[in-house]
Amino acid sequence: MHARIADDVNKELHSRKASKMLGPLENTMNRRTFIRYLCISFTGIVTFNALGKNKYDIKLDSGYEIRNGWVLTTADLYDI
Amino acid sequence: MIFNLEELESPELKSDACIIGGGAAGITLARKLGSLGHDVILAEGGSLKYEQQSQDLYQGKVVGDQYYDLMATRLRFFGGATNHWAGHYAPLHSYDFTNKVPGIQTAWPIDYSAFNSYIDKAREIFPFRQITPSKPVLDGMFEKIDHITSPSPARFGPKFVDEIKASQNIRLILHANFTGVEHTDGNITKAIFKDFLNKSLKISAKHFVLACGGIENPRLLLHLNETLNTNFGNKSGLLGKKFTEHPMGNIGQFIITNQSNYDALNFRKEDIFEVDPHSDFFQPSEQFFKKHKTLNFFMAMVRPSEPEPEVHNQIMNDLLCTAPSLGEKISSRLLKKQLQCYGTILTSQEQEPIEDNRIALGEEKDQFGIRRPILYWRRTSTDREHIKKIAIEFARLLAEKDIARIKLYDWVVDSSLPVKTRRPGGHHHIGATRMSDGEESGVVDTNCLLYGTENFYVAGSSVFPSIGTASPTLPLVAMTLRLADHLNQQLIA
Repeated sequence: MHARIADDVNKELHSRKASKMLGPLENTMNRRTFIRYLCISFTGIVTFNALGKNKYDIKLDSGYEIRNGWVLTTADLYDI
Repeated sequence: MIFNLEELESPELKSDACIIGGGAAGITLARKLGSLGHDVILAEGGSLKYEQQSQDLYQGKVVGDQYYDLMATRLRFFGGATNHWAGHYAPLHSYDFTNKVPGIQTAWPIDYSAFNSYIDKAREIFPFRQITPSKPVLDGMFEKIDHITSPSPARFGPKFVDEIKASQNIRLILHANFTGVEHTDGNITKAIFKDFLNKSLKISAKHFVLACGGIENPRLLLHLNETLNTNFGNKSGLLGKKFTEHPMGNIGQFIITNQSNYDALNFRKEDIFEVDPHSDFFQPSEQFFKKHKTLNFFMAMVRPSEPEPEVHNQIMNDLLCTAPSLGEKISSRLLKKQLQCYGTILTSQEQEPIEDNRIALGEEKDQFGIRRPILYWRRTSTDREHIKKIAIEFARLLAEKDIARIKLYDWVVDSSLPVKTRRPGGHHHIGATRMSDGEESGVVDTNCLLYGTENFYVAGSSVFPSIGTASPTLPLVAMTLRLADHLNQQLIA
């Protein structure tokens, strides 16, 4: 999944000669995130939290979370 | 008329009003009273230009959080801090005159609408453009606000020096450093000044006004009480205390997720009066205060004036790491050139007034034997809690509306971490001689008269009990015009 995103984006970027705007995206996702993403994709439940909870990951009320400082919706995180 | 103290032949002068300090407040008061025909002496410690020997008198210590050097945060020559004023203007609101949070005293003892009429008069002095009316956004919880930065901030010294020089009613005395007063049971009879060669001048007047800035006003009053063995303005024990600033800083980064949703936040083009093209300012609505019980603040979404690919790349990479699915969607929109905006979130917040944040006298003395100030200042736990609560709510609403996503810095999310900011405050020195409706709860009364005296007033930002997120320069000029009306009534009575 990680590779697919990076490849697709880079392909497009190079083809549009717009790499200065975004830059290469290789290695953008770390291992922890990759594992999380796989977990979300395959199970769709929150068991992935145990794989590496950030110190500042906070669950807010009514469908919002803080992850790595980002204030995100549940849909942002779980691709619902 | 303008004189240097060292050139004066007489060691004593007499006037209707003696104004101590030639900054925005002092100059405004002198011009107004002079225009009404009163005999005014305006005593300025510095000169018409910057002089190091004068500026050195502003040395002092700061204890607590990171703050500016007290030598750098103010200027000691004619025109005062307007000589380096940035020219910002953001208005006070009616709710700024109230207690917004139970247990935190931010209410003013005077009426907002009556005070606001002086804001209109004060605006005539400044080259501010017309302000764009606020627009409710984000379910009515916030307002998109205009935030004016004057391209040519009013420098009161150069702006008014010729007028004062030509005035027959105003005598501007330069190098007149205030060192004390003579009084009889609170009736101030003379103010005492010295030049840098220690030559003395005594000025008799019906009324005296201390207008030396938000740090010097409390410092000089503490000095008077110490040397005279009095307790003027301090029956409440609040002289020098409840100092507040506008804690500022970049609290995070944002990336626009839907350009049309973001554009819908903005003013209609026909409503805009030269609004800053790179920043969008938001302030809470009364609805927000009722729901979240916080002090006032503003949030500015600041976009870079020039593209910064590295920063953009860093934000995107971070988002892809955290929320790959969302990152993928945004990447797709970026490729289609449907999104361009990213940047930082700048905040300025109203501070909780607490007694521990204060101006006190240090052990070290200046060349006139007056103890130098110590500013004790820190962000309170309430300040930290409020900015966290506010930032999360703002970010949550932007996410809910699919307008943008915000990444908050660790120190915002974790209040136990030290604040990281290059701009700890706005150089706004508020509240250390606060106005109240009784001497048990403040330092000056509603006419700015120092409690315990009959004729000694205080002018400037130090009298404000609170200031919301408004820049203090315009409100302090408004308050001074209000004081001028009061003194005029006293002088003609």
